[in-house]
Amino acid sequence: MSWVVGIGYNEGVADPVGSNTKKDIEDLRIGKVRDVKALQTFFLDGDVTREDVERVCKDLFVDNVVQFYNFGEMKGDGSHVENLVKDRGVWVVEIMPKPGVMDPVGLSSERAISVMGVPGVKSVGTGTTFVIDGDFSEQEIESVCRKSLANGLVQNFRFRRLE
Amino acid sequence: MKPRIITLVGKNDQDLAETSKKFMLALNLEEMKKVQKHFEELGRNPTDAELETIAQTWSEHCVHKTFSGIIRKDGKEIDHLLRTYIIKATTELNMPWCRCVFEDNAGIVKFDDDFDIAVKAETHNHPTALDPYGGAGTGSGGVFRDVMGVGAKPILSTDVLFFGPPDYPHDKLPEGVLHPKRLMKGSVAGIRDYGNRMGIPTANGGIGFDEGYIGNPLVYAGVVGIMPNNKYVRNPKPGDMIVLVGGKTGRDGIHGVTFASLELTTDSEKTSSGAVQIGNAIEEKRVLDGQLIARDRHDIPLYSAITDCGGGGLSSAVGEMGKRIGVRVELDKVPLKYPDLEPWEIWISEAQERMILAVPKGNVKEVLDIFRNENTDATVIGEFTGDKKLTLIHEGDVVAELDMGFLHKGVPRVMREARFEKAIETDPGFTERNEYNEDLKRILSSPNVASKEWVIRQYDHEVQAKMIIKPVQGYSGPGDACVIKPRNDSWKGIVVSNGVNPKFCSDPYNMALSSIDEAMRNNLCCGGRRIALLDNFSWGNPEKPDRLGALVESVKACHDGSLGFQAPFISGKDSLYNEYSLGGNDTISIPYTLLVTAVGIIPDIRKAVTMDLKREGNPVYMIGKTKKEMGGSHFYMVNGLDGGKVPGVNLARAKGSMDSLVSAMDSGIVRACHDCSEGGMAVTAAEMTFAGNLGMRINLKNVDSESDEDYVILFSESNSRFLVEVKKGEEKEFEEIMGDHTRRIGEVTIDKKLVITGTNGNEVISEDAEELKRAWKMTFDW
Repeated sequence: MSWVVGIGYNEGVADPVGSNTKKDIEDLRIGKVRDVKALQTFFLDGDVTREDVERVCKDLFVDNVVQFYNFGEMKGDGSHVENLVKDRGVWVVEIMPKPGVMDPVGLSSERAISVMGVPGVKSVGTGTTFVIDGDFSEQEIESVCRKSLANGLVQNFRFRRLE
Repeated sequence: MKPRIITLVGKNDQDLAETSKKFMLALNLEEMKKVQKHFEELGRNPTDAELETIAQTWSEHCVHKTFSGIIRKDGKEIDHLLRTYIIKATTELNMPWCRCVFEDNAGIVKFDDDFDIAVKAETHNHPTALDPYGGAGTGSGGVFRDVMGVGAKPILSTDVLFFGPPDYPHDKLPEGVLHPKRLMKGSVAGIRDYGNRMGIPTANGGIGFDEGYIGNPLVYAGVVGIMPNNKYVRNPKPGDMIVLVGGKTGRDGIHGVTFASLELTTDSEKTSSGAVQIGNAIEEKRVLDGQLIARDRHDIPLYSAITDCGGGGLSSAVGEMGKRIGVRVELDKVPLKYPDLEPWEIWISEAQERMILAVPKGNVKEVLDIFRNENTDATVIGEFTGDKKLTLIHEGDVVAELDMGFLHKGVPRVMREARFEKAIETDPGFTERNEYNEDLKRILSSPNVASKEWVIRQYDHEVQAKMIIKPVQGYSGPGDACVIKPRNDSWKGIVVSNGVNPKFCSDPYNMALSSIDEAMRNNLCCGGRRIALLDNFSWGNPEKPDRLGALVESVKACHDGSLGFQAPFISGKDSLYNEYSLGGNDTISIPYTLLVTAVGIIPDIRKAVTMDLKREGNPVYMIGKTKKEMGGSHFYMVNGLDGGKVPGVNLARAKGSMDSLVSAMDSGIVRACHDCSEGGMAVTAAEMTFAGNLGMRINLKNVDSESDEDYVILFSESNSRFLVEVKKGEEKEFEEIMGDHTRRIGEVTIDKKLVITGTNGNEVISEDAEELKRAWKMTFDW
């Protein structure tokens, strides 16, 4: 099974990427943003067991003191974000590198996972998942993605509303 | 895969031009005709790999056509701009401590009896415009490899960036252009991640803003490296093997070099995706570690030559290394990221983190083992032949066979017209105010001057544990230069600083001199001497005579400044075609920007000086003369005024005062020193005050100034000036050393206020240091 892991900061711990992104969205003067959280996202492609994903999260991806993780089975339509994000009534935006674009953190993770002896991982990709609490139409959120969150030259994005 | 033949023989001019465009070769008609003629003589047509190789080797980026071409200006011909001016000055100065200048990847100068310093600075403008994170990051990675390419270990990184105004309205942005704030955040993140991950301190730099950079940001990445002085080798021999180490090859950055020789258009965003690369700093760190073992394990390095794969990829690296002897490369041996790359793509790919080594056959196994132990690829991809040909093989087929002589000498020299008319200076004039507190605060919060601590704190400047004078000094003050102590067993240090003044570009000669003066001043402030310089031109399209005329003026200034300060240029780079087309005929050219990087030596780092005030009661001196040179000043900018005379440099006086200042520092009586640059003397005084958490009292009557107008004395950006805090009781000694270069203008006070008395006796500035600091820090409170 392929998996998607989302890593965020615990309640009360500063989330610099999230708060910076909030300022960036405010600068655009599109819609109204109340809060942004950023989840560092790993796409584990291959045939991996749930236990192994759990182990990779705990021993490799997460700083257990200040961060939490959620993961779920990777779905082609992006519906896996429902497992990564517990909030509802928010926009969720996923940003990932385009195929063929160098992903150094993904490559380093692949090596580390193989050193850990976890079997079945074919490749690791990285991205960012933004959880945006605010008032936006679908067009507006797309415009935010294009103008601020993603660089269409090297990154793909997709978004959905969680109700 | 059989090579594709591209028909040139028998084609007319229009077909040739179309072929160049279709394959994105960026070769002009004359060059295409030269290629056509060459293949006519051979009686065949070129393969795609051959044509791509020629396009890459002949690109502006690689051969610097403009700087090495013929320029017609004012009825005279300048044969080779670089040699006529900049290299000529270096040759005339003939400093015995210059080891390798304008030859290899980086300039090399002596550090001490055992070690040399390698220095290089480069631009990475076009990729950054498209993807700031990847572009600026690979800019750093690329320049690190430049000093690795002469066998040195990078120990310090310096980055100077230019963007449009950070508060530029989103709705005014041209189509396809990223917002300046986004460019800045992305670039800083890219530089941060590359330097921090690789473990190289980013300890020096600057950021400037101007509307002229909206469509075309600038990223200058610089690096200082150190190496034992007996380990520089550059002598590949026939029979030596070509070893490729580091990252795998993909379609990264295909046509990056030829792309840099074109103007950006609104389509660039879509069509240039191949030109963008993302760096992998960890890979480069592995390559560096392996390389240092290969260099140091035995008395002489295991390789006979080394170079980096930068712009132009293998084609440039291998082709350049083998241009005197010839090479034969088997392209299918090159490790690929994914299958199905065309042979020519493998050959010119600009995939990052790769180095090329020439290795004598007997050492090959040991070299391969070293790199594999570092967990990085090392592969023999061919050998040096001695037949003076470039031969490329793919799956048994010869896909290219080019004569090295034609490839490296065949490029037709360009002939360009240059024209320069000095703009008429009309000073708008300014009616004196009673006080200037608000002006000072507005200048302090203007983006060019404002605190860049938000950026500096993201960069790791402590890694390697060798930094002595760091970018933030005292209580958050802005340092002039950084000082690094590279050896554990010696007090000797390296001082690195920059100078750049695009605001003065209406007068390119004085703009360039001012940049040199500023780089020298900043270096001096911390105690640097025996200074070597690097030039880095970012310019508009050189095919337009006015742009080229301005370029010639500034290059002349480099010659004059270099001789005047007795500071040789040792390396340089140019990035031309920094123009942004909006479709139609209107283009935005960037302000002419010359970055001068200065690398000095300080014999004993314990005598280095910082800019924060140290103790109340100490006298404050000013060095240099203030002139009514308000052109391009920040005072005029915040008051919406245009015009005025751009600051010049009196080279003889400047050199004399700087030599005296070094003597004063060596005698240990200088407590603090800060140069007067953007915003003039008032900004310098404010920065010293809040950095020291003290106060300062100054009387403008005592300042050596040709004008008695308060705003001129406070805010003129005249060159070659410093504010110096001297140890109380040592006034006489300081005055004796400095002679007529200095005047005592005030003293350090305990009350944490900056109080400046005007020529009429009234207080023209009176403000709490905290308040000034708040103004200075609020702009980039991101």
